[in-house]
Amino acid sequence: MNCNSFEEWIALYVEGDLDPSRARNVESHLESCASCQRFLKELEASQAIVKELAAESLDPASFNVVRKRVMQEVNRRQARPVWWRFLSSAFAQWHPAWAVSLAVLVALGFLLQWQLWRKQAGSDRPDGPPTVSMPAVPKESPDSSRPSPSEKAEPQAPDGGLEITQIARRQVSPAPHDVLTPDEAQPDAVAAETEPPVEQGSNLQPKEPLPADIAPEPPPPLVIKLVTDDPNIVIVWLVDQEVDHN
Amino acid sequence: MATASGEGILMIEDARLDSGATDNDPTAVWLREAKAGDASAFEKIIVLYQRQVLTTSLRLLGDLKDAQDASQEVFLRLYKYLHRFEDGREFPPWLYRVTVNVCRDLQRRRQRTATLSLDDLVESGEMREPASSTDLEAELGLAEKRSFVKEALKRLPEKERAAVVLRDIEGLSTREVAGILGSSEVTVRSQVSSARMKMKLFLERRLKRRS
Repeated sequence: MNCNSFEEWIALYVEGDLDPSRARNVESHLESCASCQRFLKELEASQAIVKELAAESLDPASFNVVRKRVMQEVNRRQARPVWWRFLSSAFAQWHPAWAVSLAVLVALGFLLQWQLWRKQAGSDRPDGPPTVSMPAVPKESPDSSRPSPSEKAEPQAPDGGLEITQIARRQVSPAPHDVLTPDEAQPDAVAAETEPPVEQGSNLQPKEPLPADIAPEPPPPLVIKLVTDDPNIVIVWLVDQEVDHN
Repeated sequence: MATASGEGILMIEDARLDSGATDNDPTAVWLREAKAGDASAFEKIIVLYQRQVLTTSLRLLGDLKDAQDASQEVFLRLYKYLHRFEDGREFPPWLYRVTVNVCRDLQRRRQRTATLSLDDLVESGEMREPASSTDLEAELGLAEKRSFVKEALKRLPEKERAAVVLRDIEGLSTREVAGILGSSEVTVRSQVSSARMKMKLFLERRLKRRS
């Protein structure tokens, strides 16, 4: 070892921060090295100056300024209504990771809803594949004990699906003739409509894709921004809004 | 310990790491009372620990006004997150950690300090230059010494400054410093060693300029 390496150890040795075996190495080196002995003396002198700072006392007024400012803020917070303090306390316990997780869940839910909406909107086009809407089969129908074809197609579809379908119809392609009324909704007709699109499509002429100059411009992607508690974390979600040309 | 007198200006004694959290420890009692919403108990905690927080902040930041701002932020964070502090846990190290974090955040926001690079000193030849005097203490007045040390601290890299302030000025053990800074003891030793050598060089250089 050269003296430079020993200096790093001497800088620890001077305050007793070296383990005993290294301390013995340093001591044996110091016995034979005048340069390191001088380094140790200089270091002891500078350490004594550094430690002088520990004895420095501050003006009590400096402490009082801090204490008064803190207590003013504490009293102001305590004067807030109970419900506000309860909410503050509840949210103060939130870990940032929870907030991010919740934000991601909300985003996923939104995306799922969006995809469902798009799916429903696409299926409502007159030349699109036939679909069955939930309202077509009233719950009080005498055949309600029998599982309907729509239930076979989407067994998990709850009443919420109905709402989405109606919204989609209103917003995207209002085609009232497509919505089956309870009177029109015959189980057999429904079953026919749920046949695979290939069989249905046998009666339909396949459409030519639109030429590029006539085809509508694709809409810009939907941007979902989630701002978290941490200003450095912003979740940006780009949802491509494809146009179905068929 | 702090005792209230008159309007609350109070005898201040140093609160060190040896104040463990026990049922007989006033800090533990005041923490419980403060958690229950007792503002006066919280004020007692401030009085007991304001010296620790303000002086550490001052040594880390090098400016009294900044240190007061940092101390205010430390105690307000303490108030906000008091419910997270578990009973039985040692309070002073936790407070040191909050103080170091607040000072680090404040300093990063202000970006004031220029750091003293040991490599620069070596390149400039000052590292190899022998000290003009081996008796620095005898040549400097007390105020001057403190001023030089503060200046040297300001120019240290952030992590080395925190390590040397806690180890050499606050007098904590290497293990305690490592716990507060969230580092290993080996890392703290390396930071402290480097900081001591830089401080020595800085003080020698200052003394040489002065003479």
